[in-house]
Amino acid sequence: MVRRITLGACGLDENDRLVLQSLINILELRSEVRWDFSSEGPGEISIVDLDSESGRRLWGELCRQPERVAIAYGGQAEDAAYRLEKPLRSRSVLQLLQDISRERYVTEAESGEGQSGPATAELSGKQFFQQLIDLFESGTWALRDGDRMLLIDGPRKRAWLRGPVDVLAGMARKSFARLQVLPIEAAALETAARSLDPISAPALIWYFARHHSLALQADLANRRYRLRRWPNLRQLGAGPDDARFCALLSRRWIAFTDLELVAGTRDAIGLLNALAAIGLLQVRPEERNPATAGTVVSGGLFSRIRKRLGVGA
Amino acid sequence: MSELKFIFTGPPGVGKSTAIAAVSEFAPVVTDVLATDELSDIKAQTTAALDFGEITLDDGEKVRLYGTPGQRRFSFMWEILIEGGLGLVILVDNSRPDPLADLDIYLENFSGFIRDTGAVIGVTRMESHPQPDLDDFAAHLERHGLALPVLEVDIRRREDVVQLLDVLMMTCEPA
Repeated sequence: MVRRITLGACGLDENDRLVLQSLINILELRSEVRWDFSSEGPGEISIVDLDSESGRRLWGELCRQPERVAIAYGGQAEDAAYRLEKPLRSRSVLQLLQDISRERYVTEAESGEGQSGPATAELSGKQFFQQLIDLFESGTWALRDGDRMLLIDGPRKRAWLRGPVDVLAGMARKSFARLQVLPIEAAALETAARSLDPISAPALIWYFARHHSLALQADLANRRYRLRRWPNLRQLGAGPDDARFCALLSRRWIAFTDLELVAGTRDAIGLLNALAAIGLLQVRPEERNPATAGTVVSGGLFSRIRKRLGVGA
Repeated sequence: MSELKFIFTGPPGVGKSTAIAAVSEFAPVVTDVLATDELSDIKAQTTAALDFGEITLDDGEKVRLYGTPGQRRFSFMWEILIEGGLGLVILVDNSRPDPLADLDIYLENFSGFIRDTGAVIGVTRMESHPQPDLDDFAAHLERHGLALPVLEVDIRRREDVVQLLDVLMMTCEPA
């Protein structure tokens, strides 16, 4: 029988909890156990933020329970058997959790070593998107859905697609729920990729995020956004509108409502999704001052200049 | 009423005069002199004071397009030209020996103006000189704490220059 493990987040902030939640999906693919996630309390394995008061309170208690594993996150703990540094890095988290689960919970018989059989998972569209980002962290993968196929070379940040880029649009639809994610040997990947069209990892992630209506940010309306760095729009295959919308985010913190006013709801969500997915977006909570939202206006002068130049206002 | 104007700057020979010509209603007024320094190898004449073009809005209001003289010996002109400007277009020639160092000159000299208004960077001649690429420029700007727009442009094409101005105006939108 397959072992189930609950991973608990103790004292972690919202961003870290979201990261862990998405990593659970990847763990499901990679490890021999099944994972559940508890966002606000201990599990068999707990990641404890020692920089938070609630985390520090729980730490001693968890360490006294031998059936539980406590992982120190940040702060000081000389008695920590396991430790993660801040900020959370997907690769480190995955590696540590896999090591602990193998070490403590998987018997040789359960591990199925020596047996073949690729990991297969059915994923929802949103889960797929989040996992797609993580798949580029490491390993080589084949993603299949009927005739559609996507090969991913994580270490080299490359991918290959069977068919034109429009195939991705089909994958990005919410109906794209039945997907096989198979680990593939690097040599086999090279062979399979020979006849397929290459696409860079950032361009692939950008495409999915930009054309997917799912909001990765849980609460778009109550945050402000700003570019960390200008994206390479040419490499991403982005259009002229993306350049305009990104420009709005390039010099100041912009409320979602302001971006929405200029770009429309769908494009505003898509753009923020895409910029967040490639790591170029800074996010901060909205200040509780309604007067600061909705103040970006397409200035009268600039509108008239645009009109004279023959571009959209 | 103050003058409405956009400023184009960049190293000598990058094509500021050409960019202004691409969108100006009339052939730009160019104050060229014979190039007497290393520039004479690539360009017979260079802009000594400024380039000047113009577009007229529906209500008759004029928007001026000024190109700064590229050579640093004329940099005393830069401060005069930017006074009251709406924003800055920095053109960088990727075929020059160190385009990122060129960019630094303009980021440094126009830092106050960029902070107060906005700027966009147009990189030219990338088709023949792909390095540094757009990521290199963006990373370089990030090290300066900036996320200014960086676009590949062919300044002979009107639509590329229009896009630069359009993106520049987005960065300057009031908030």
